[in-house]
Amino acid sequence: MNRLKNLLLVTSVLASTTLSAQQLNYQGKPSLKELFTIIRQQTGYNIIASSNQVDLNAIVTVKAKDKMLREVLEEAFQNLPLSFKIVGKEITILHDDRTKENKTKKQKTVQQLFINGIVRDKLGPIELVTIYNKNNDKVTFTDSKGMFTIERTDNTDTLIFSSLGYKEREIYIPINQQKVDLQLLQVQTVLDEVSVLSYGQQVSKRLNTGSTSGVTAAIIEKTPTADPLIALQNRVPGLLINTLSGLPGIQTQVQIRGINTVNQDGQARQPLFIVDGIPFNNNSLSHIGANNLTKSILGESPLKSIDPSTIASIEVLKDADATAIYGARGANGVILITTKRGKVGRATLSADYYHSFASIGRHMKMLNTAQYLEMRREAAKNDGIELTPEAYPDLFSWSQAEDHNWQKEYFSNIAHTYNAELSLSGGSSRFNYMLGGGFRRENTVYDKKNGLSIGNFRSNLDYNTADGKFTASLSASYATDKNDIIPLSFNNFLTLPPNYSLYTANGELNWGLENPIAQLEQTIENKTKNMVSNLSLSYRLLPNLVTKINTGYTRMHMDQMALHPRRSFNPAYSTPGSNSFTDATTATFNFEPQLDYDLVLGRNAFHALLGGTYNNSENESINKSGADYLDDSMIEDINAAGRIDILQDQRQYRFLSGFARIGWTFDQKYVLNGTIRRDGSSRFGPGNKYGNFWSLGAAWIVSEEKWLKENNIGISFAKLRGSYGLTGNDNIGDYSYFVNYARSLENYLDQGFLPTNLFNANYQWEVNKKLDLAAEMGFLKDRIVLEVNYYRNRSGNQLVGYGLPTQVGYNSVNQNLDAIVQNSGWEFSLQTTPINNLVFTWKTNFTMSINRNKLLSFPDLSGSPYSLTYQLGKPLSLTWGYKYLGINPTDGQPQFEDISGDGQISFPDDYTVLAPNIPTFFGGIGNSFNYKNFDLDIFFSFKKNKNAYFFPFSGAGSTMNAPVTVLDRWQQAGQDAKFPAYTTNSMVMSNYSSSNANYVDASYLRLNNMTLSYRVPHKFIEKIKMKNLRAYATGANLFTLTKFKGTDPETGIDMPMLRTFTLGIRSSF
Amino acid sequence: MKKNFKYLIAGILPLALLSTSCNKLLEVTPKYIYTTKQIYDNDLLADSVVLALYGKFATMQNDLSLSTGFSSDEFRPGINNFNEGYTFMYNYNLNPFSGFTNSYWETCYSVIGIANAMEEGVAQSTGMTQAGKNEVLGQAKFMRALNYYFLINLYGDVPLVLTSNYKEERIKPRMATSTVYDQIVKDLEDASALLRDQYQRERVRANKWAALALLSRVCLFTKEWEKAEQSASQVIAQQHLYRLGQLDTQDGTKVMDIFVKNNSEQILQLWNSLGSSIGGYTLGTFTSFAVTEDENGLLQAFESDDKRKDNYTKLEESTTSYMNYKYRSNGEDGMPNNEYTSVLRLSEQYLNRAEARLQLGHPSAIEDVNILRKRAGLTAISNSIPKEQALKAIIHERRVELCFEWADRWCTLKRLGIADAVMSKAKPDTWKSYAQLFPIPTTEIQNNRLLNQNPGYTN
Repeated sequence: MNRLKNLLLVTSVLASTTLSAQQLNYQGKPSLKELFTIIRQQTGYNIIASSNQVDLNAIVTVKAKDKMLREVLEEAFQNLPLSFKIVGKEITILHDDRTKENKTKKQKTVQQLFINGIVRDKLGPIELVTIYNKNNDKVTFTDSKGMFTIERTDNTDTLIFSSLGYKEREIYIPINQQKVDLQLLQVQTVLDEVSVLSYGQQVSKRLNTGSTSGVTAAIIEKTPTADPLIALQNRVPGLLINTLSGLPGIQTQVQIRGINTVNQDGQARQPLFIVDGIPFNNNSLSHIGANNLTKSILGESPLKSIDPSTIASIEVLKDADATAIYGARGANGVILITTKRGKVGRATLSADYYHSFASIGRHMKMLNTAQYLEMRREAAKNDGIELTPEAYPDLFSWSQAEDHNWQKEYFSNIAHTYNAELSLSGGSSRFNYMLGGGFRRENTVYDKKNGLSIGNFRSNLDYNTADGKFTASLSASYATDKNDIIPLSFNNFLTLPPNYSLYTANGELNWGLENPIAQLEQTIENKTKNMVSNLSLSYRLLPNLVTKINTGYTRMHMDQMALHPRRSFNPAYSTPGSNSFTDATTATFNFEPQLDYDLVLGRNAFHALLGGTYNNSENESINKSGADYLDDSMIEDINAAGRIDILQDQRQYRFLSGFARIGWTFDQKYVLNGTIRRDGSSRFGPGNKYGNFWSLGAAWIVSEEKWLKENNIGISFAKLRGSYGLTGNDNIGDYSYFVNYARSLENYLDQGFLPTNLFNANYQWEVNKKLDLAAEMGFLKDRIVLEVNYYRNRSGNQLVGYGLPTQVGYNSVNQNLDAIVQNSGWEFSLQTTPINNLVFTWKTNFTMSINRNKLLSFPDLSGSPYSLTYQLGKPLSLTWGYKYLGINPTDGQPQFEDISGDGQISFPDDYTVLAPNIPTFFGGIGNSFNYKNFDLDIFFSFKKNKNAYFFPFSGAGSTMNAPVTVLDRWQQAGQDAKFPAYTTNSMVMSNYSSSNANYVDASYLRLNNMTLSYRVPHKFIEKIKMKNLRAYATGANLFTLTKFKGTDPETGIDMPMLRTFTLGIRSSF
Repeated sequence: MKKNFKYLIAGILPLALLSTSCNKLLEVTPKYIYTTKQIYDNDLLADSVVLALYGKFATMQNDLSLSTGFSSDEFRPGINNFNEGYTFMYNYNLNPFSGFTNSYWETCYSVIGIANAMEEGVAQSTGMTQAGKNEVLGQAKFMRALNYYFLINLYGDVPLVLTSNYKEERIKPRMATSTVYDQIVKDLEDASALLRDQYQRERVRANKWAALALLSRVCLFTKEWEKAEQSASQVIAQQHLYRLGQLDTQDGTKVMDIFVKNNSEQILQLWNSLGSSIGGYTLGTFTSFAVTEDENGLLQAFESDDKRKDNYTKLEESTTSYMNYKYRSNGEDGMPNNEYTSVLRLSEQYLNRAEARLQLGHPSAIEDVNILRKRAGLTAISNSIPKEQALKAIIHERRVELCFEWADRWCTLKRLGIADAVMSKAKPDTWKSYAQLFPIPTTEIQNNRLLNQNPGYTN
């Protein structure tokens, strides 16, 4: 107990030394509320005051000129029944009416006794809880272990426990009770969560004028994937994440509020990623300099180098107000990733481990041997074709008895993931640290040997001087991974006939058909190293003026090797062995000076930010490929190649901008924010480099109005906000405003250099105009929080590689296109807390996004190269083809709409827009329950997409299997079947394949995640000095309700997302 | 306050500095990519574009020869048809959107695009010598002419694009072939004046004589007989450079050397990194095509004593069909890898001159044909045969001498207006008169609304 006392003493001494240096400058008669705002802005101290104890409208007199904060407060509270306590960076204001009364009574101290105890919430001890003894006016705080000691009277005492984000509790301590073990109930709602904004600014959701949403560590932790973005899937309104494959570490497609550009380059459609303030290149390096062979592989996700367990939050910035500060590059939205930092308190060592078991949850039902052979025979019979051993090896030379289910034979293993993390964090009021590292290994359902391994290390350090004027933060992370997964083509196994043998009788690969397992004879190895570092320095020049410099450097390096030995190719074509080695680096340097100014005038609070950004990034890659190897044994030796090709590539990109942001808050009720910026990009030619962007955001906190406050109708919070502004896009690639001469790939005598493009010196910034309107409401003390958001983004002056007739020598030229793409939509989010007490808590979370994408205008679309890609008034993701009209019941032939009316179905006259291939809506439903030490989280996701590509049925003319659905085919006249008569006619089936017959409804409702966790009670682990111990089990992708007949409505015919079970423990000491 | 002001200055100064040096900070330094100014700064660098130009053109290599062999009467599909496109060519099942023939349009116009950029680059150059400029310009004009020659012969009227100003050039109507020929003749005349009269190292870049050789052929198409005669004569007169190559002898003491690299018969060949042999390409897929051997076929066209039958074609025993044997190196052991694809050679100049002289009424026009017949071990044709027969003899000679070479047969049939007559006899079931022209690629029509499709094809 003595130790505890000392500890308390130390903290308070520390606190007061820090405080003594905090000076304040202000003269006037502010209300308390205003005074607190001034203090927060000038000193950075947070003020905690319970509004039902403290009258914030009370007017006080302040005459402070370089006065100590303590002095100012003492003076201000002179005539008020208030006292204060300063701990760390927090000032707690206490209602103190009895103090004055008691003062007169003098301290008739009786026997000095103490009450001691511990305060916890469900997760463990709580620090800095204020304990106030009503009976003797003593105040104390809990320490980092949640413990406190407080003087008591000689009678029954009443203690009041309060802390921000918790429900206040008052308890009576009988005379004979000395110890207290108390639990406080968390009442924090989403509205109290802090949103991280651009350039490190933070704002509470209550005052935010922009549209941002995000997820916190608690959710990211529940998704045991390498790529942290997967955790956001269907959880964030407005954010669409398409997973393309169930293979580990594969890049996802990310869209914020729809596609903004007609440019079909995926890179141009990506949002901007910012990790700890530094732009992060999320374009897979494997596309840089990779040759055709490796290009077929889906890109690796660079984000997998950021360990999800080190992420504190991921914020998605959507509207003009939130993204304008990234101006130029914010047109497609911004995703901000913030990593965890150390916290004041004793050192905490955390150790986490989990193990996942994953398998394919749904198989696609394919024809068995009997059905397959029947299909082949029936097709030949329908077409009157004679069965010959040459044309029909599957009916003659292949086994008629073998019946393989290839999916089960090759994709039914269990994939394992091992993930271990260790971190140490802690700090004092001057210095905080977080050091951590982790290791992860993941393999696939078809290959135990090869997998993805990631090792990472991170250190985040924060320092501030004793006077609090100077702060420094350093973040550095390093990750290295190796991925040697061979991405087998799942689709090829689906179409493989069930009576085929992949091996010949003597055990060699059978090449009667292209052998899909031959790929396993190849080697693919990607090694990535990724360093992200950031140093942020700030200095308080004046009490209300802070200058800040943020510098960052990131470097990603990829070493890629692909070996294609002769034995992996069909010997009939005598393809010699080849290989490819790529070495690619991308490095980014970022420099951001800033000036931050605060001013409070009466009830007005102003905030101004003036800053600049300089960004230099450079990609460099070299690809060496060898071909024509004499023998497979030499396949790794580039010198042994018959032909060696070397490709070098470099891209440099520079970006420069200056910006100003001014915010004005009046009476905590009206908020207005304006941003202007001027951006320069090296991607544009002289005279066109700069663009001006701006935004305006406003919010009205209706619930702060008296008339609403006084009418107690259950509305605890209401806000209306809106924003409008311009953001830009320069995603057009580098160097294209001048003619690029480059080394010719077609050798002729000596080195040849040829012009590789046409130049257009005049293209300019693409401009996206964003409108955002929203209402945020809290009901019943914020137990119900509803947010409804409407947006309308119009993107014009589109930057595209415009298609040209090759008569000009080239296929395209970069230019601005006077087309306008509109994305408009609604986003809903509803969070409720139906039950919240100490024993049982139930919270729900519902989000839904509806986006309508539309091409508003496009001059001369029909005469443009996009005439068969886009249509006015329709979304950009269109499916074109023949319109399937079902079968003709008399002859079983597929019928298509003859649009041109010329009696025949032909391209492109009869090609038409079938339907947009985008979800109509999507979202998620989350429920989390807490009962004592148990937590249960259930998260469902849903998506409506009526037009997804299903397995292409190519008829029965070739040795390709088909899904069982084709059994419902036409067999006799008059039959109304779903599928046409089996046929070998490739022309008929080619029209069929190009029609909407192969597009099906892929809407789904999926149990995405279910996590049950158990916290071991503190009394058991305290003895072994453990702070926390939690064990959990997660099931991901547990079941899917869908009409889609394939393996996964998300990935279509590619490798499905796996059903994953995870067991893990989290512990901290 | 004064102190505060100082702080403010200290804070703002870096920002101010930043803004003044903005443009410097946005400068980028491309690597492995060079500007027009850099490339045309000296002769050597500018000359490297010539090599890239040839490299681009060379991507067509044997493909055009093979395709037009199928569409004319030289080839039929073989038993193992690996390349479906050749069957489409053979049966005239060409479609304009995914057409097998679209690549020729693209390659020819890509070469022309580079040539146009060269012309403009040279015009801007300050560092090149006059000799260097002449050479680069001459090569650009030669290649532009050669590729327009192919374009109009494959597609008919085509847009005539002579600059890289895409804003002006992208929407352009088709030009009458006569206008395009005027440009070709002009380019070739310019080129013959600009280009050197010697080869530098190998015979893989056009010189003055190559420009004249092509001009003599083009003038047959434009019926400028005198120019054709004079151009061919000028080439033939360069005896220190050009002499006919030899054919195999029965006793095996001599081996055909016509297609060997830098042979004296060659006026222009395409350089080939001898790692991959030309023969290897044609032979590697020998089972996918066969020389026509029916009564109207090429094989029957060889006179019985014509040595060229065994020199230019060969029976492939495994398939019992004949293949192209002009290029023999196939990468197999013992086979010398010493051939380059021929683009222009002396034999054709004799045939060009013979035809021009015949049209000009020259009494001994057929003499030039007899030079080739003599080498082939055939008897001479009399000077006194009627003009009509003489022309037939020249065309026959052209067919057997220049078989499988750069669409010569296909172009000749169309030039003389006998394509319908010959092809409807050779392929009575499938021949369509409109097939004389390939379809215009759909994407080209989409991107240039003034283009229209050739008759017989639907977009």
